[in-house]
Amino acid sequence: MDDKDKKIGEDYFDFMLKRALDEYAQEEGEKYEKELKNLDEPYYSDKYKKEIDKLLEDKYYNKKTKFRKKQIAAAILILAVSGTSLAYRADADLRWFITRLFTDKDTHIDISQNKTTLNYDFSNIPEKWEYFYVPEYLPAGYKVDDIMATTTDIIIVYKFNDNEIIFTQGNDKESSLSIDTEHSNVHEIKIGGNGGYYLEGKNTNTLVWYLDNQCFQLDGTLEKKELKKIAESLKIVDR
Amino acid sequence: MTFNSYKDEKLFYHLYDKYHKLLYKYTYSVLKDHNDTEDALQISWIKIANNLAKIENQAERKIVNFMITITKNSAIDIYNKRSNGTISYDQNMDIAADNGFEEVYMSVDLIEFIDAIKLLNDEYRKPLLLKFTYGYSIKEIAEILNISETNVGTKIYRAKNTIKKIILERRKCNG
Repeated sequence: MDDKDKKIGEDYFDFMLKRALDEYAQEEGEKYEKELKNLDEPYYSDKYKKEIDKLLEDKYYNKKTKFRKKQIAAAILILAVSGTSLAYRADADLRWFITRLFTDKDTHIDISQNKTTLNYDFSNIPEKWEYFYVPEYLPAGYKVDDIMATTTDIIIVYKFNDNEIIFTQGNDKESSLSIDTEHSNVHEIKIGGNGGYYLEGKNTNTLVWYLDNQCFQLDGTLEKKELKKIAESLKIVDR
Repeated sequence: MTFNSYKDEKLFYHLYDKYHKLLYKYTYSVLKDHNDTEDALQISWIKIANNLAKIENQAERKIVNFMITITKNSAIDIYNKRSNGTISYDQNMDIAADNGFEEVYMSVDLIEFIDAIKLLNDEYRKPLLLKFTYGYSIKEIAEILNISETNVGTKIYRAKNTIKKIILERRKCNG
């Protein structure tokens, strides 16, 4: 066998080796999955549980903090000081009332000129949603990466290389958009006439606003101007 | 270091919830001690979390196999450190010369390969899987397995030659 044939042979060997290893990995994975069914729940010490919780906390992609009483108090303080702010975690009826008080009657936002055509798969959105919103504008290159939905929230993840935009909408007072206020600068903002907040974070910026009894949140590394442009391009999708 | 994406974070939660019992089982089977098992598991989960971006697009069964590979390795590392000994593998891994395998090339059946891989010692199969199935570089494999890059290269070389040897010998036996 000359050197050229040997090289071809070795390349083919590696090719077959990879295929065989893939098959082996699949087979072993299947075996492990079957074993899983008969395993008892192990007992973990409190120390171990704390370490795992700490690992998850350190690694959180989007550090989320649900509004607790001190943050509601901070929101009420902002409301009291400015006189025009909206409370994040107020009762849905109060939120609706405040939204109605401070927004235009016509709450359908003008569509941005820079429209995007994206492939959405809405098949897993529960039937409870009679309609929902998607942005018509996205910065160039972003595509739909994932759609997750419950009866109260829809989360659409757009991705471009390593950058993500997460668009969340909630339709119920049980829905709770959660934001990190611990490491962010908070600014009031108007989204098409509707009141909201812009949070400038260390790694992620967030826009939160209300429209038609629904709450919305945009998270991403984009700047305020771009996030606002996306937010103001929402259009309704009827089921 | 944070997860690279929301998808990774979601995947990690899913893997942890579904497979933590399995990782416990394989770790305990090596260490036979609950405290050591928890220590090894912490290391394993950190390694798994740090490598999610690399494996996230693999089929879930392959991801499970990857996790068990990492887990066993972490357990063995802790065992070796704590006992000052080494877990003895089946050492029947002669360094086969890299010649005489011409008849193996271009005429290999996938089943022959898979059977040979199953006969490989775990110590040699792991770097092969990490390289060919999960796409890690030699340097990355060295970090995951906590061995030198030279050691990784040697193990891969030996593993491939041993597979060739096994295939040839089986063919001779089968006539």
